[in-house]
Amino acid sequence: MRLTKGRRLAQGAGLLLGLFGATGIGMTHILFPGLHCYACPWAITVCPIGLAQNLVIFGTVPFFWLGAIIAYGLVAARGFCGWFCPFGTLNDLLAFRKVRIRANLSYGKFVVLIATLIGAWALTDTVFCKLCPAASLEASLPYLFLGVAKVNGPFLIHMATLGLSLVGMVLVARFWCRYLCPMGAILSLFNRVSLLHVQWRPSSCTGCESCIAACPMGVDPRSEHDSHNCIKCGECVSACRPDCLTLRVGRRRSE
Amino acid sequence: MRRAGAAAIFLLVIAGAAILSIGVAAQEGILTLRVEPNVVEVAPGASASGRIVLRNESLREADDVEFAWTGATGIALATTPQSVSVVGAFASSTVAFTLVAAPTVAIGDVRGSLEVLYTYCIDELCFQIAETVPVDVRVAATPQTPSATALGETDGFQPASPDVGAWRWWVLAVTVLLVLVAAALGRSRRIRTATALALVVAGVAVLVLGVRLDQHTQAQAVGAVLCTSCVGIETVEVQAPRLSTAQAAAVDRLSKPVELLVFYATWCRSCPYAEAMVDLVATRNPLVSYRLVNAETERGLAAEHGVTRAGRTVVPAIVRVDTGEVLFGAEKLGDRLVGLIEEGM
Repeated sequence: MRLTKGRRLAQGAGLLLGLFGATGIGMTHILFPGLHCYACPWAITVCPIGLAQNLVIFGTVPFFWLGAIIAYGLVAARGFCGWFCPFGTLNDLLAFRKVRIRANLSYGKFVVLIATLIGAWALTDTVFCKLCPAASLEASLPYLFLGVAKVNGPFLIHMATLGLSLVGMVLVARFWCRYLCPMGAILSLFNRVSLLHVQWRPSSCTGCESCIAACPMGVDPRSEHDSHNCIKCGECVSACRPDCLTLRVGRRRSE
Repeated sequence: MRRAGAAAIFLLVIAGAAILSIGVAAQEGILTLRVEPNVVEVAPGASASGRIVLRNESLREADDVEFAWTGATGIALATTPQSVSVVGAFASSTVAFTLVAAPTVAIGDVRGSLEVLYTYCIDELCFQIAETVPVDVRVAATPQTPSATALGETDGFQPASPDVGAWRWWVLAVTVLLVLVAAALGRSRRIRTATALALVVAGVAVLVLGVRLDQHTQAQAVGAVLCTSCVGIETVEVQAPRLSTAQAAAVDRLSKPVELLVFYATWCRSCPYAEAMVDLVATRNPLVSYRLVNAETERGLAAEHGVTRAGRTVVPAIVRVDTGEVLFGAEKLGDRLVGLIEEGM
């Protein structure tokens, strides 16, 4: 329970950082460690996916971007999805049903990532931004109320992608994070080297599988706790009665 | 069925790319030019060096930058300065030049100029830009500055910013390879630790390099100014602006002067249409005057006129100065612009 409360607090902090522009602070140089639209009227951070597309369009070698991503990856990797990302938090809040999809669609997020970069290069346009449900929620809707956006074709496309994503989130826990998030795909590359990690001790495991039932990403925490799907949320750790799963920060121990 | 549903969503993502490929252009220069030193001193019959700093203030690349000398009788370029193939977004480049004075040139101050020719492209549309920067030359019997050199020599000015050459791609490739190795690691604790340490070194190196190359400013600028067509608030108008008969009649009926400010960004896709529409109206009725304002450099003015909404500067934006009313975007601009200027007439 302590872990869950801590995560809720961290998710609140992520939301606070995402909307910190409401205090009057303008855009900073910081990349957000998650999917959060820089066009959001209250954003003070830059969306890594939006920036990546711009860098592809400009032909810039992305040193600054890559350095920031490596820093986030080494600290928590997909832990930012589970503990900090506001769009991930929305996924959590809407997880009313747990429909199990047997097919392994989790590589879809890598396809989205590659399609995003190729789309930016081929069309010299921030194509993903025009479809991104986070942008729909955090930019299109606020700007409609601020009198900047209008109900037009691009707005309706944004609403359609948002609507489809919301339906997916209600039916499948962490639908966006599991299958489609390009930022999750990038952070997942660091899951095996990040300081924040889940540790499993097989010697004390009773095989009750309560961890599998608790996992919002639908993975088996015993064998997949450092796979690209684990968001290090710690739900499996809370559910594990024999305490053979732990969430740790620091060096990894032999399993 | 579930698999088909997920596939349909993904196809929507891909199909959107085809639907939303659009582009128009701006025609304004994107380089700011500065000559150093402020006054180039040269003795009759000798040569002196200077340099021109090219600063790209936009998110587009300036390509094939070439130079030519004009004016100032008796002063000429010793050799044509080396052309610059690319000045990247938010990057700078410095080019040395050598002026040579004829033995018979009169003592005193003269002004010549360097013509700078370059192109930049937005999508498939490219623009050739010609800009001129004045160069003040002081012809003196004994020049005070140490830049005078023998004919044909260069003075060895170095570029202000680090030269980013082909090695940058190697640094990028090695770092990305390291990330991919980290993603594919097995359970060996030692190898994981070693890879993590290598990533720490590579991460710090590329981060510092990125900051040195001013890429953090580029990141900040990408987020600070919002172009309405860039995140899908509207589509780009690709047709030349026109006024309908009713709109033209409304513009003709104006009886009082109206002053407008048009806020734009050089890389904004919707801005050229908004600029052209305002120009069309101003040409039709001289009571309408306007001024173009670069929203990236005139942040204070943008905030003062309500073009900055909740910390984000939105372009294109048209402000009627006397009423303070603001129009954002370029969609259905004819009707909205006419409505803006005929209010209170």
